[in-house]
Amino acid sequence: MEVLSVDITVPLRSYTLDLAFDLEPATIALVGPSGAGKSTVLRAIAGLTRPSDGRIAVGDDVWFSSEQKIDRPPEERAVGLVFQEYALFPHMNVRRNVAYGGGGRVDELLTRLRIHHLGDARPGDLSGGERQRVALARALAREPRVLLLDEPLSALDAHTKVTVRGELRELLRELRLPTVLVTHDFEDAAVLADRVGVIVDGELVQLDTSDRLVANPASPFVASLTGANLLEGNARLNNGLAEVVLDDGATVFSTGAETGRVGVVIYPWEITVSRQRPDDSALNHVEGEITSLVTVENRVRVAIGRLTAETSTQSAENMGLKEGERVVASFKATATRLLPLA
Amino acid sequence: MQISARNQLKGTVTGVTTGNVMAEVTVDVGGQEIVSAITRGSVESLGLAVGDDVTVVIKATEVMLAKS
Repeated sequence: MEVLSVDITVPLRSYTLDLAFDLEPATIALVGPSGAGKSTVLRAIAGLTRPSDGRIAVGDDVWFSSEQKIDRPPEERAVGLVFQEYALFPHMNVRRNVAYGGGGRVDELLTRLRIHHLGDARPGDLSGGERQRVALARALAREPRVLLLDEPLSALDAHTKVTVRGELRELLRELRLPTVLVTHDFEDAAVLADRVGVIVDGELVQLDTSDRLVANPASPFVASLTGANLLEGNARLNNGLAEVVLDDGATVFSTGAETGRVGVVIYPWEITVSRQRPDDSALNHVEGEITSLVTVENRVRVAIGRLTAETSTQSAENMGLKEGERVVASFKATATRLLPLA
Repeated sequence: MQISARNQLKGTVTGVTTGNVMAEVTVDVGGQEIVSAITRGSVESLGLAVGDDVTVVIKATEVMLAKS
């Protein structure tokens, strides 16, 4: 199992990017506002930006080390890089675009990414999702040991995006490569990545699973960036409503229209907390133990099992909420959205 | 009922309109009308009908204000 190890310092115009992480074959998403230094991390790993200090290695293979004076050029780093707008060659057909990355496995990759039938098409004739698969095939043709994706979904319209995102997620799981992806959208990060790193002004302020970031944000900024709870399960339609059986066995009702493998999105402020199951119109009542209470300015994030609710500080104090006690988290079916995951 | 939502207003149901999946319930709260969009299933399981006394529950974070 190869580990990508990154520990770098890169002076930028208004601040210094300074961050470190180790990544086993899994996906890490770097999220943060524009100009936070996210893309610089990808460029440094690919060898397109030179850090002033630090070390980048894959297993025992050192790509950059300021101490050992190693700085391997981009072509000597086994990196598959997918650019924001995919950067396909418009005058070449799909097959030649992929072959540009490396000639040996073009047919295998076209088949694997389900674009074999498009081999003779030009990028201009393809949909956004197809173009993304061509860009991924070209990146994989280099036989990379690390995959880097810069805003992989930003070139897609909102409707195409959710479908392509589900496909990309499956593909990343199959590839099992250390993958670093950059996005400004927390929902994309939560769907695609195993761990999410929040970068602000060049600093990695928090790195954790998406549900732990929602439950336990390190700062008000992280709290505002990490929008929603994301629960996974299988949905089927029942009297016009989606009935989602979550992976932990609980059932959630949603007015979303997706079926099959889905993510259920619920914002923390849509969830109310009570001691007994309220006799109200909300269709969803999930009972669980309070595992953490984290105050963010004048609000409190209340983690109840895998769900996190947000109440005002006043409300949490009035109720005397405490860690370890059993409570009910209630939310409306209309407060949920469903995302296709496969 | 102890619940974290801070606004709990007593009112009376003045109208129930049901669609296939969703329903719109209007409630008179001290002379002002509040509209609730809930699922038809919830209307049925609560047995909501015109004239029923209900509590309107609104989280403080869901309330918008406009200056009149």
